[in-house]
Amino acid sequence: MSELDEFKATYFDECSELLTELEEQFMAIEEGDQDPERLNAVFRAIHSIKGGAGAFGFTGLVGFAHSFETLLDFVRDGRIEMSEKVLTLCIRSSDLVADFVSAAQEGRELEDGYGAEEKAEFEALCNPDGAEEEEPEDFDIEFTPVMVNVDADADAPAAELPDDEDVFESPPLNAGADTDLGAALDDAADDLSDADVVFAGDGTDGAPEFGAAADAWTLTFTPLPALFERANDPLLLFRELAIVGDSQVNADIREIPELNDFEPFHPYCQWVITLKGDDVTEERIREVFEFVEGDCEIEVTPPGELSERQTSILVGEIGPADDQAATEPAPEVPAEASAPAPALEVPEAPAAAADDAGDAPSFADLAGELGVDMDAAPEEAKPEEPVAEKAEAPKETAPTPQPPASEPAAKSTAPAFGNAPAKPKTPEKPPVQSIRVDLDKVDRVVNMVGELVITQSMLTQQMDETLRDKYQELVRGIEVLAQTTRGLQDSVMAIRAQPVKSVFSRMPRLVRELANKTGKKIKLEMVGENTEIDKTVIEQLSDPLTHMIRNSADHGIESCEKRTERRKPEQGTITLSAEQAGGNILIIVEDDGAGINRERVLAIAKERGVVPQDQTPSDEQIDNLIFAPGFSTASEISDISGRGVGMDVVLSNIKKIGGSVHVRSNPGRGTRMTLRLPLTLAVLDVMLVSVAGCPYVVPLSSIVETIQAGRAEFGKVPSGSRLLQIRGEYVPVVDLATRFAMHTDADENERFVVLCEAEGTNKLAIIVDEIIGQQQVVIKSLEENYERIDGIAGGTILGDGQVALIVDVQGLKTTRVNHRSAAA
Amino acid sequence: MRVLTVDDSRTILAMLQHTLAGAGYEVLQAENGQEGLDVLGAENVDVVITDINMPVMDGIEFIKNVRASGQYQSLPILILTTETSQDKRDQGRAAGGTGWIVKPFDPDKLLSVIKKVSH
Amino acid sequence: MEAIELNENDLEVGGANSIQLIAFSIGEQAYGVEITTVREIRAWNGATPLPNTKEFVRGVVNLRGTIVPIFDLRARFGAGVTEATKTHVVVVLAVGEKWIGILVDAVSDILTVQKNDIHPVPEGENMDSELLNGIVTHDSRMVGLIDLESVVGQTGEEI
Repeated sequence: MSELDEFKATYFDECSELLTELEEQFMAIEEGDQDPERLNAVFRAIHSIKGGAGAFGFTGLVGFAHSFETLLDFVRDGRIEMSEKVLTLCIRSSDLVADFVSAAQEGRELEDGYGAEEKAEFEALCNPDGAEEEEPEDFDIEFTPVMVNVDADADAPAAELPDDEDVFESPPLNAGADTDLGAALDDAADDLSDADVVFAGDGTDGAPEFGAAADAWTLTFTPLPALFERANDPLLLFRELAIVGDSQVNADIREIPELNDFEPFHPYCQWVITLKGDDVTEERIREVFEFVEGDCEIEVTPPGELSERQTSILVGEIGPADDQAATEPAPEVPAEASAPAPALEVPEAPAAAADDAGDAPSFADLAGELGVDMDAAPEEAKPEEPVAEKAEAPKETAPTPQPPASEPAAKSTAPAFGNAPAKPKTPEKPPVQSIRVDLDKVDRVVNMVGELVITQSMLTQQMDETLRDKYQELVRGIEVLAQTTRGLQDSVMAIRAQPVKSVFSRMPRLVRELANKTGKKIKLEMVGENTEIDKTVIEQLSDPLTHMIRNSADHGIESCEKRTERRKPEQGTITLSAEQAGGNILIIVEDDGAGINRERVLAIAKERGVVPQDQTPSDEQIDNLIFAPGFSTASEISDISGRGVGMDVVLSNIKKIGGSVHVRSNPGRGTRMTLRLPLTLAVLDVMLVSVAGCPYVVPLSSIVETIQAGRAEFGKVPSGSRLLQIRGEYVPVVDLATRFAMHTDADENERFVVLCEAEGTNKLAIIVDEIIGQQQVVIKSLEENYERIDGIAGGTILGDGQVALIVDVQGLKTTRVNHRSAAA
Repeated sequence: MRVLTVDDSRTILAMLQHTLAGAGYEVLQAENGQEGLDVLGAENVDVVITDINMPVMDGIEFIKNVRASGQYQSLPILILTTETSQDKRDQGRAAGGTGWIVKPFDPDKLLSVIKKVSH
Repeated sequence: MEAIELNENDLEVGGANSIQLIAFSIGEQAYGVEITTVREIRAWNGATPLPNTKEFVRGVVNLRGTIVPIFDLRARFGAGVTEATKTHVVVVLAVGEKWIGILVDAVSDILTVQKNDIHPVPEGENMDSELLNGIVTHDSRMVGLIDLESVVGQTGEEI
């Protein structure tokens, strides 16, 4: 029983949280907050309290909570107005719920009729006509945890699990057609030890077996598409039936179309099942089909009876089926499956069908093949290949409401099935416009397209003037190739793109929690949720965004009093927005809080050695120090932003996906944090340079211009650092050879200055030995097998197979203060 | 066999965990539909048990999302419900729920229902 | 310590009480790694150096589209940086989730050794006990079993 006590402890913990929540929500409602989410939260809290109470048999609490919940439900959907009177009742009732909970916790009995008055009020409100409200049912089952020993009892349901796994080899989840009838049939034929499986249409030999089923129940079972849509599976139903009694499952498979027209989720089969056994009752049979009621047609006849339809399936149709076979082309079977004749057409003893899977149903094979083929999408098999369609926009805009001519032929082969009632076909909604594809497969395509883009850009580079004059056709061809490749790349990337909404949608809750915890009033505004960005980028976005918003709520937004003092609205605002800017996506978290306390940040940074004592970084550099590794430590981190990691995690996560972070603060007015993310992860336009004989690449998007070092004007500041003087601006200089501690023999004047612009206003001049050219590269992770390297954003593989490192311009700039060696 | 349990009540999650783990299932937990989707995005799951009333994303929305994802059309989803009234259950089924379990659940019944819908 | 742990694991595994090693040499000394960790053996063909790393990190190479770091085992043992030529060998290994390459002089043999014959490394002031998992004797030669986790550890600048 100790488990039960543990559950109870969990429950009472939870109750105390829920009761606090109730109080907070009602308080806010009382203050006039109209957010419907508050009522929802209240409803859920009571609902959860009731749910747990039911499990432990706290009947008094269940009864009261149930009535309360009913009232809240009425208020929630507007049937009852949240008047002051109702609100007062609710608040008082919350206190009563608390009383019930603590009584239950202490094992006390509350006096009879406790809360009866309120309960009566609920009922009066919900049911002004005085009709009796039903008491909740089902709350008398006491939850008694049972230990189920997997090894001890071979017949216990749990003990069968391992067997089941063997017997009904569960296909991988993404295997697609795993509930389709082919697989079901195959499994049934292979494995249903208690059931014989006969395929109608297999041959006349099968017929005498049934007919006069004097001692057996007979079921006709015709699944509808909804059955598969809800992930029910005929095989599982047959398995259940086999537990009820001795079953024989007869499948009618004549509706199965040719492979080309096969839709995995369409029910093509129907089954006649005979069920023998002393315990078989209609009720038990119906119980098996409880979850699929309405999703299939079932006819159950007691022993000795057979409906017309059943008869026709079992016996009558066998002749016609042969006719049908004669007039219809034989289904095409993939070569691999053809060695034994396909079971579809060739008469075979039913026993063989059940026992010898090798000869019998090639449906699983067919289905398996189908799954594979669909993924591979050969044109004949799948004329409406949506991937292609996505790329060809015009096709979608074609104004014909008619389904396209290439509509699978399956639709036209009506279920000519004896006197069976017309089977509802797949509903007449527009043809399904999507296929499932493993993400892996998409990624493979993305990678290949990436490589293709690079090869293409290398080709383009080979085009010098003489070639251009000499081979104009070739040049034109390469230009077209370039365009097509770009188009291909965009289309492929579009497949992976998803709206940022999926990440943004988690933030309102976070902000609410933060507001509750800090006692601040915070409102979250979201803009541009439909901006699309690569799936991988989205996956990496959740943590950084959470951190940034936590930071804003915790350190940015001030307390209500302070805000009032500063003549700001009491409620602070955090704005979360996404927008596309050229080849980048900008995600911006902006708050109207106090801004960054630069003095404090600098003091902390110096104290922790993030910034040398003698340095005076610019305001912008100070602001960005909050992302520096080692800046925040667990000890000073508050409960909210804390959890032992600081904003440097944001930076490293973002860098991992080729992005950058920048913060800009306006003291007293607020802070704006900008994430700049690449639109695609696949390809980056870069300038290839060399430093000390090693190849590096600099993202083109950050380069302003390049200057030969001999022609550039440099100045020196007292610390010895060089500054590039250009058009009246002074730009800090980072010599990559010095910064990366490599020796270069290059003549100083022959070297190049690459003037870069990172996030923010200041530029950065990077000195390299040589500029090799411009190209496109695929970003590869260094961290996958190694670790993060300061000043390097990742790696890439050049045309000759060599690895080049991607220079992290933003990183060089913001961590520069960290390295006095940066000064040349 | 891995079962994903989605419920905003820790008590219910703990009870499910206990019953399921005791029967040899591996149990994953999520506190609302959104978290459930996150788990499904990262893990292979054989059966899902989900509550209906949850914050952030309720069970109905969750089921719809799962079914719409394409990858999980064949994933059995059981709806946990205290509603004795049919409407929540029907909504859940309309969204693509495979079957249902009535709270407070009887452990044996829970296990037999899972067995009934899973491979 | 490590070697003892290894032996304990062996007991758990039961049955198979021998392991296979890929043996390679650095100078005169032979070392080995368990064959199951080896992914590929290739000739040294240069590497792109990484900035601000320790000298035993020779850089990164492209292994069929992924970037793999190369560790100079001689340098790791503190015996100076290897003057690598085309005859030097990179053994690509899986260490946990990561793939790494180690630069050695030559790969010599595949050895089958009894787990019982693996001796613990004597504790000393040098780094041997830290970088080796154990020692086996093969044909009266000493073969040091490389502790890959330690080889990979602490590669960057001191924190």
